[in-house]
Amino acid sequence: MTYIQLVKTELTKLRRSHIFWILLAPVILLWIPSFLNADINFEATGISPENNFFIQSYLGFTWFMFPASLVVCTVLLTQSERTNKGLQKMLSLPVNPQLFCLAKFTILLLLAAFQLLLMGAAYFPTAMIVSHMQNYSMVLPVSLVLKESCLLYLSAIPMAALYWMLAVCIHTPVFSIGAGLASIVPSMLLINTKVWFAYPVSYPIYTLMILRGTMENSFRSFVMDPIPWIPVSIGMTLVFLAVSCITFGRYERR
Amino acid sequence: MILTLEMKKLKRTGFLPTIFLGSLFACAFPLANTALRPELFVQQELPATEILLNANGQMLSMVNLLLTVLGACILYHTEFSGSGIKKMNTLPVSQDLLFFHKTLLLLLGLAAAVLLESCCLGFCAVHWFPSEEMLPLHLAQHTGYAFFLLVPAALLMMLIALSFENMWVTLGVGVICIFVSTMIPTDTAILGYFPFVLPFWRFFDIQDKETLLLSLCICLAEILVLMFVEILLQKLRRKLS
Amino acid sequence: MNTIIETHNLTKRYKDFTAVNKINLHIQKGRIYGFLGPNGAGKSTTMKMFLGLTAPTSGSFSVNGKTYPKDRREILRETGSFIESPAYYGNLTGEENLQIIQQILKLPKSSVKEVLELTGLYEHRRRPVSKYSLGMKQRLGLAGALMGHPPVLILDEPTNGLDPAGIHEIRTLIRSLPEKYNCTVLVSSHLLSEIELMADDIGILNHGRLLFEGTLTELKTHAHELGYPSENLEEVFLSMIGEDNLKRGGRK
Repeated sequence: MTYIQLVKTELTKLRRSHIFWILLAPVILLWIPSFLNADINFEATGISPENNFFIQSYLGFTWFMFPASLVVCTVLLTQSERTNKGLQKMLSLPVNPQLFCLAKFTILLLLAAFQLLLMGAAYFPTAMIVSHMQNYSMVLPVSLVLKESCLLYLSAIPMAALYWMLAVCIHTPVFSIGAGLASIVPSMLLINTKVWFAYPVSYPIYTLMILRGTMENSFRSFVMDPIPWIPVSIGMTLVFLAVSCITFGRYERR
Repeated sequence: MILTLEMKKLKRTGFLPTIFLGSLFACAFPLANTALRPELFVQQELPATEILLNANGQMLSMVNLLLTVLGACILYHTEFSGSGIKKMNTLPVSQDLLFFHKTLLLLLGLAAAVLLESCCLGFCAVHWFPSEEMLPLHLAQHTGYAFFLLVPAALLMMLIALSFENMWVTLGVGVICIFVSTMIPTDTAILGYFPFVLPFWRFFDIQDKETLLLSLCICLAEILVLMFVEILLQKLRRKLS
Repeated sequence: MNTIIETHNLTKRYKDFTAVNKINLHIQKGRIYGFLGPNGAGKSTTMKMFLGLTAPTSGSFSVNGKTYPKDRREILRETGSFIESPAYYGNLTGEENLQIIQQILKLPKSSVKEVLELTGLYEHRRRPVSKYSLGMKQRLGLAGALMGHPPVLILDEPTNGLDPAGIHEIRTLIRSLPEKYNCTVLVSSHLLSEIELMADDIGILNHGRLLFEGTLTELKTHAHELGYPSENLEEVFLSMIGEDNLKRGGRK
């Protein structure tokens, strides 16, 4: 089976798994408070209300909900194989386990892209309604939202690889979820330190902070230093994926 | 007797390691934070406990809530995964009693976690703020208050775990609750008293006695209401089954 | 003869579906009562009602002179049960699972060893139940039901999932119980051949209604009177069910 075929079969496995709702629920949950508290955006100083509206909403998303959704997705992807011995069946078929593991990781990336898309898709109608309510245009240009979404997505790939590795290596679902969720907690603290680039979970939030720095005068500026960020992140992603590929299915083939 | 039975059921579920590792993880925050940039903290003119909590309190509360969610999931997952609870229903033992003993175990675990975290705060204070005098009193105040305000969240989480046989639903609801509560400032009217927001209250942030008393009373009221809801829920469950 | 379990027009309705329809059972003390019926006939629902796991919509029942819901706790104390798929704590060993029951029922520690030996699980007692085979889980469920020699035993398809040797073993065990422990057994199955080898009395259930109640000999006579082929009881059973389904307007 080729890689593409494997990805296709993996996509069919998602049917009726309710994963769509898991991705949608946080997005809706996030926009409700930003919608209700829209007037707060006018109180902030040093940043325009429309920028503040965007930053505050996306901040909640990137700092907690996006990583948490990814953690849940990884565990869902591994558990759907482990319950009822689906993985055992797959491994008894002529499929390369490493390729299989990568196909599953691709699904995770697709799901992450889908959630970012949902987030972006929900932004415009909400911003339009809020503009109407406040009599002030809250809508930012599509190009800016699109660019930021793409940057957030790229910066989330190492984090996704980390969570995928955790889900593959830690067999008890409660523990892999626990470890994943716990890893979110220090990200806010770490972006303020010099070693932030060593911690993949803080990448998306750092990316957003760079944008915030350009939008808000008084806000401390976060600089985008490609070195050592880019080599370190690529290296870590490769290590995480290698470890997951080696470990994947090992338990079933004991 | 039921307490020992419930303890036995926790064998090999990973409950104790989760609590232990979780609290160690929480301890790492004040330690690392203060060790990496002591200059930021030592010059502040506040009691040591307050400085440390200003810097790490929110993280500690979040970890404690995370432990509450995971603990509740584990406590009820062992009942539902092999239908052990069905066997319990055929034995002459009160379901309410089982629930409260399970909750008691979760609270004991959380108490241990809070205590360990306070010990770590104490260590940080002694190490970086040697001139501090009121330390034991401050620490005791913080520990007691932090633990008491965690009780409603633990009860609510246990209720959620009891209500859903599927552990993923419990976990999902718990995570969403934590997330929402991180977005709600503690001084928000009404919402600030939501069981998951209460653990973010801090003893030293409270200026006057009235607010302190009010927070304690509300916490107690929530505990009583949640216990009452549990009894109703079990009754309803038996009726609907 | 004295009855130990008795029901009066016991009924369980789920919305528009009637699982158990006005049944009147009379289960005699010290005997094995075979509860027979196709899948979905209402056997498990009836047994669950006896254990208070589901509340009757109407009608009543008594177990050993105690009524539901007043004496629920007392009924549970005197009844050993095994309902549907085995219920257990997968993270605990077989022995630990039984110890929990032992402590709740306030039985001596030796009772655990006794039932482990009785069900042939003694050598596997230190293994987590999640590692047990289906047959072993089934035996463990049975062991839990037998703890403390309860006067009433309610067993729902106890031989499900066992191999022929295991079925034979469990059957012999159940057969020996009334004499050994002076208890009454209510055992369900959808196989007449199974019930025939175990039970003294039989109750046949179809679509929630009790079609027949009596001893095996009475069943044969009853069948003969109605013109069913009586030499083979399996056929009698199938004909009765088929006839009833026809009457209800369903297909045979």
